Amino acid sequence: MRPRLQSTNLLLAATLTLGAAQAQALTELSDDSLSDVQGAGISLALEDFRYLMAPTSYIELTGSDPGAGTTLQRGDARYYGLSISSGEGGGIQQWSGSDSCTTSLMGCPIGGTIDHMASANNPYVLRVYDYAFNDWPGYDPQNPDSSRPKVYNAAGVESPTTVLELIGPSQTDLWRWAFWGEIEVGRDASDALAGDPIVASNDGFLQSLTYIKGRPIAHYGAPAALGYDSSLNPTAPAQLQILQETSEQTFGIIYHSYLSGDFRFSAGVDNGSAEGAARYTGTLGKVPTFNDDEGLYFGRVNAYLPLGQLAYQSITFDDAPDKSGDFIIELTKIPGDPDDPAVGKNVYTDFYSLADGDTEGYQRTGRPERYYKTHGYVQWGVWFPDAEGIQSDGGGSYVNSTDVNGDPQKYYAPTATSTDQGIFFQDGAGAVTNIGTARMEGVLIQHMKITTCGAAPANCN
Amino acid sequence: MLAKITISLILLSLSLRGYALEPLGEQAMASISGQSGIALDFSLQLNFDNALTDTPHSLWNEKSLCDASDATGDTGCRLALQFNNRDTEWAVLKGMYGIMELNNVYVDGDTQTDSSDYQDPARFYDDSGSCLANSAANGGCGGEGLNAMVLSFGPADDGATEVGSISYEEDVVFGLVITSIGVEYDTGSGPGFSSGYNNDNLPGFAGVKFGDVSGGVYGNAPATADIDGRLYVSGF
Repeated sequence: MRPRLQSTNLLLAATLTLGAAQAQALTELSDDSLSDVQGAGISLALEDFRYLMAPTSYIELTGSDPGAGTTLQRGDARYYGLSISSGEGGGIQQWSGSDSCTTSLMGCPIGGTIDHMASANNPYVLRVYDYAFNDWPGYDPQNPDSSRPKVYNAAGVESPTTVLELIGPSQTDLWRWAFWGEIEVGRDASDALAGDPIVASNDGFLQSLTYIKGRPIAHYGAPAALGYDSSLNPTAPAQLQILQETSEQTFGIIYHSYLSGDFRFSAGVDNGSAEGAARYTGTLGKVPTFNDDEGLYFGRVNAYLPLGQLAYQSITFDDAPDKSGDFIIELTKIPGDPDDPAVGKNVYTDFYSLADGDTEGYQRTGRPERYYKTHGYVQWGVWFPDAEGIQSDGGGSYVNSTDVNGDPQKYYAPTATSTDQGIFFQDGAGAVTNIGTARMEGVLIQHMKITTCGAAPANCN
Repeated sequence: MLAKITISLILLSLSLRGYALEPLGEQAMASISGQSGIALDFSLQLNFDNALTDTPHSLWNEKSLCDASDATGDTGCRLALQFNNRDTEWAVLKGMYGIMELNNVYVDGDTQTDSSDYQDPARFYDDSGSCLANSAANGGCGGEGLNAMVLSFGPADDGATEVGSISYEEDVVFGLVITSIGVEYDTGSGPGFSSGYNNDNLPGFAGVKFGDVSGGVYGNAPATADIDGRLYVSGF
C-alpha cells in the first residue's frame, strides 16, 4: 500500500489531557494477571451500545457520466442516518423525529441502547487461527493431516489454512439496523450550481426506508428441527476470515453470514396524515417521514449464506480482462477434478458432503455434519413442522417454534392477513396481504463473479 | 515527490488548558497519578490545508488541497493498493481527502462482568480444546474476570442537535471524498517505466463521499455520529 500525498498535507494532532475522575480507575496490572494472557486473541465486548449517524449524514456512492452510445443515466445512491440500536419494545422514533411509530409492527427504526450487544462471555473475537487440524470432520489424531481436504497450487504448494478472523457473538440481544436511502437519477453539472433545496428538473429520485429487527445469528443444523429446540439447533455467529487464496496466492476473504429476524422495506413517504403533511418535503436531501405501516415485510427470517470455504474457495479481486479500469469481485471456482484423487476428489467430497451411499446428491437424510457448513439456507417464516408434525387446538393448526426473542411460541397456520411470519405487504392504512411462507435449502455456490462496468459503460449494454 | 509528514503532539495538564506550553512543576506532576482515567480528543486531516487548525465544518469541503484535476490528469491526493500476485495492477483511490475527529474519548480500566445468559466458552479455546480464559463463572471458561481497557465517549463538548426526543452528539465527525475509484496499470519499461499508482490513464467506475446535507445537498459538511455505551478490550 503506498499513500500518495500532495505537498505538506498530512497533519496529525493529538491532544492528551488528564481528565476528570471517571467511574473506574486505571490500576497497575500485576505480574499474575499479565502472565494469564497468552496472546491467542482479543476479546471485544459491547455494553449499552448504540450507534446513530445524524439523520442528515450520509454515505454516498457517486456515479459517473454515461459514455457515448448508451441510454444509461448517471445514478447516485445515498445511505442516510445509518443506525444500530436496541430492538426491544416499540422503538423511539423515525429520523425526522416522528414518534407515532411506537405502536406499529416495525414503525420505529430507531430504538434505545443495546444492553448486551456482545457480552463478556460471548464477545467478538479477533484472532489469528490455524485450522489445519482438529476442526475438520473425521479428524484422526493419529494422522491429523489426512482428515482435511488438500489443495495445491500450480507450483505444488499446499494451501495454507491459517487465517485472521473476526467472529461475532453466537447470542446477543435483539438489534435494530436501519437507514433511509435516496437514489438520484440524472445528476449533472448544473445541479451543483442550483439553489438549496434542489429539485432539479431532470432529476428523478426515490427515498426509501430499510430496516432489520433481528440478530446477526441464526440456528444451525438439520432444517426440519430449525428453531424448535435450541439444544438441538444452537445459534451460530457470523464469521469473517482474511487469508491467502489458494490457487493464485493472492488476497482472499471468506464470509459466513448468519442472520435472523424481521425485515421491512418502504418507499411510503408520509404526506397523508396531519403530522406527515407538516413534515413532508418531497425534496432531495430533506429527511422524510415514512408511513408507520406501509411496506414489504419478511417476517421470521432465518438465513445462512457461506461465501467461501477454507482451503479451497474464497472471495478475490482482479482487474477486468479488457483492462478498461473496471474490476472483478469473484467467489472462486471449486478447484481440481472431482475424479482426481490427488487434488480435486477430496475437495468435492468435502464441498458436496453427500450422505453415505448417495452418489447424486438427492438423498435428504443421513447427511454428514459438514453439509450444514457448506450448504446455506433461507427460511421466510416458521410454518415448517418438525417430527411432531402439525398440531391443533382450539385456535386451529399450529407448529411449535420460537419467537424473535428465542422463547417457545406456537405459530398458527398463516392466513392471507398474517403479520407474524412469512412474506406480506402492508399499505398505508394497515391492510395486509400475506402471500405465504417459503423455504430454500441446500444453497451451494460453486462460483460467482461480479464485474463493474462504470469505467467502460458500453460494456453494460 | 517525497511526502512531507508533520506530526505534532500537544500535551497539556488540566489546569493549564488553553494556555501556551510551559514547564510542569514538580508539585503539579506529583498530583497526577493517572488513576482517574484519560480523556482524549483526536483530529486527523488528510490532504487538507494544514494552515487551518480549526476549520468550520461548513467549509471543510472547500479547504482540501486536491483541486479538480486530482481525479484526472494529476497524480496527487491518491491511495493505491496492490494485492499479491497482481503485479502490474493497482486499485487506485483518486482525489482523496477528508477529516476525522473523535471528541472526548474516555479510556479507563475495569474487570469484565456479565449479567447476560449468553455463554460460548469454545471461542476461548486453543487448538487442543484447552481454555485460554479461565473464569470463575461461565462453566470455568469465559471473559468474566478478564482485565479490560474500556473505551467510551464522554458528554459532548459542543452540545448536541435535538431531533424529536433524541439528542445527537457529535462524538465522531467524519468527512471523506474519494473522487474516483478505478484500476491503473504499470506502463513502459526501463527509463520509461511508470508505476500504476502514479498513472492516470483510465477512468474510474465510482466515487465515495461521507458528508452531511446540513451544509448543502451537494456538499460542504462532514458526517457526524453519536456513539453510546462502552467497548471492553481484553487479551487472552
